[in-house]
Amino acid sequence: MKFWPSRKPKLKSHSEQTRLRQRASAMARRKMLQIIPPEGVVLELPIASAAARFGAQLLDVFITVLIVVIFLFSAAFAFQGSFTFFATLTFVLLFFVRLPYYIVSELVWNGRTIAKRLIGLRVVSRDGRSLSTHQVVIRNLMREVEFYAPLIYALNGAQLHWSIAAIAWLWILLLIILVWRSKHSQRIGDIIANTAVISDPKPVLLPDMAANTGPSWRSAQEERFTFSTAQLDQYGRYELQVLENVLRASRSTNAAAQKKQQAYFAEIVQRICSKIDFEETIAPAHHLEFLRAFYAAQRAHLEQRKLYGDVREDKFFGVDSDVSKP
Amino acid sequence: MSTDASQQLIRSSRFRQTREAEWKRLSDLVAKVETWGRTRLTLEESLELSALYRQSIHALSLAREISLDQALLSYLENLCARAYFAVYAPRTSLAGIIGRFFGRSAPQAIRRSWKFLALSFAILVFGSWIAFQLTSTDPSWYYAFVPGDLSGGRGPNASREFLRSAIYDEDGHQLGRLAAFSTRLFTHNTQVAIFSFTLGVMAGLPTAFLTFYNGTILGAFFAVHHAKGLSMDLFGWLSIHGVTELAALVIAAAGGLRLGAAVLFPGIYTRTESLRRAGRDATKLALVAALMLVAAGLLEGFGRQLVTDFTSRIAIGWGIGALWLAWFVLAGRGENRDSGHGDAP
Repeated sequence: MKFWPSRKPKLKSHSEQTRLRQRASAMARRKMLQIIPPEGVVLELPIASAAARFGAQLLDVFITVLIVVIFLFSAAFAFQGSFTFFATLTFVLLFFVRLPYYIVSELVWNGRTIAKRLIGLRVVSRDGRSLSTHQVVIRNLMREVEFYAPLIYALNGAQLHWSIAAIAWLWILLLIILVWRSKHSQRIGDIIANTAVISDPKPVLLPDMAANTGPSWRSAQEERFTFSTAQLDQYGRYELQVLENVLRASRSTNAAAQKKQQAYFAEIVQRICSKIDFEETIAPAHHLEFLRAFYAAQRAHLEQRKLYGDVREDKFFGVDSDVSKP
Repeated sequence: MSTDASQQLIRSSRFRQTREAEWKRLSDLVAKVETWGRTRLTLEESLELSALYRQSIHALSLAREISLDQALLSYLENLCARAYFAVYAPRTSLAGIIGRFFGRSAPQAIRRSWKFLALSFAILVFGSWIAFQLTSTDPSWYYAFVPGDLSGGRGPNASREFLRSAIYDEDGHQLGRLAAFSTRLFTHNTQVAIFSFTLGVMAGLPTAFLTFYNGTILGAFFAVHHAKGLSMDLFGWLSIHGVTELAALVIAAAGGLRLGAAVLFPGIYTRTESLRRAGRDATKLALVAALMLVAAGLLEGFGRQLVTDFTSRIAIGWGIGALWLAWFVLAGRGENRDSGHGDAP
């Protein structure tokens, strides 16, 4: 059906393409959570990384332990008790301080404890509704059961029998594997409560690389570089957005870095020109202008094709779309 | 910018240019909500927030179709997600949640679970009856039921005077040791409550076993004191906190049994879904049990060693028990029922 006259498929083999494509998608791959708010538009949220969650836990534990220590000191001034009494008090306090701390803070700040706020994490409900009290209570109650109770046995169980500590450690190991392997990095409490921890999205609007230079620049360049449809039929969305990122990064003032960048641009320009058969040789001073003009033209072209239902994911579009589309 | 100049922009850039101001405004409103809370917004701002959120999420859905500008797409995606969290935040205040829990949802959950409460209570009574009978016929059974660190030296071989002094604290030296023992018993019971609730997921069997086992400890303890003619004194000693504590154990176990029943008999739901549904009531039972354990701990810490008079022990223990019962039976009756399945927590 599709026939691209000027296309020169320089492709080595089928597996080669698949490999390249997989590498490209692996670079962009991160665990994502899709939720559908009542408005019906799917939102993609990045799942929090294990390191961020661990850090937030550590900080929250620190905060709760601090509260308990303050309690203990005031208790020590108020009563005279044995060591066992205080050991038990610590155990009880830890449970009855930790649980309300997590539940109340996640309720008041909509899924964020103090540490989660600082690190930028958030608990969300997977069903696209607001986080309910029940969900918050469940996921935090389960943390006591699935993690802290076994942890106590892992640390103290060896006094009773070594196998108790071993089983407890094994359980904790299993738990870590479960979180790591699960699709949305959920622990048992998250699965039961139907929640997930995401890293809080930060909306930063970067400039539009097809527009930000203003009309005067554009009208001048429009004449200077023109591209035929055949020339614009070489690349897809992936390459376009790589170019977008390259252009966005092209704003250093450091002389040495600029020089390095010039060489980088020269290589890109050379590659593009040979790929699309652009006859004219471009002077190094005009490399950036050429890339900008090419970006704008390529984007306009691809967006138009997309409107007509011809979505081009990357430069391999139309070649093996029936085989290696996921 | 003249119309001529904006005509020269490609379509997706024009799309972005015309809407950018709205997005900036939404971003400011969201930032305000996140730092100061929704209550700081005026009525106009609240309306503006939800209107702008809907416009932006519509723009996102459009942009996905017409734009390949990565900066725009990721910005809109993040902005809409942030705005979604601000718009669909939990709407109840903390005071409202606590008020509803005590006033309505907790007692209703208890009443809905009366069959499971009856079952776990029956298991407890059955366990203590068996242990009482066995220990009465052969005192060596005592060691099979009561773990060493829990008995505190009070076994079948202890003298009547020792048992009596432990109950009434006549010996001043005993106080410290018994306080430690009491707290240990409390920790033991907290652990039993936690485990009997959570292990309910395993078809309720571990819960039933733990409740039975806890009953046997009680029964064996009674048998030893009964043999020395101290059963009423032990009853008083246990009453002051035991009414609350054993009730907490029974409630926790009922929660566990409820989870177990959901796994065993899911009905028309999948097992996970059935568990999720049962979890709504079971969690409330667990919270009530935790609360009662704290109350029991306080009673134990102060009441049991301070109040040594038999009658006042009975009065305090059963009086508080009656208060619990009144809460479970009477609270939240007239008001609309919290079905336990709806959106409301």
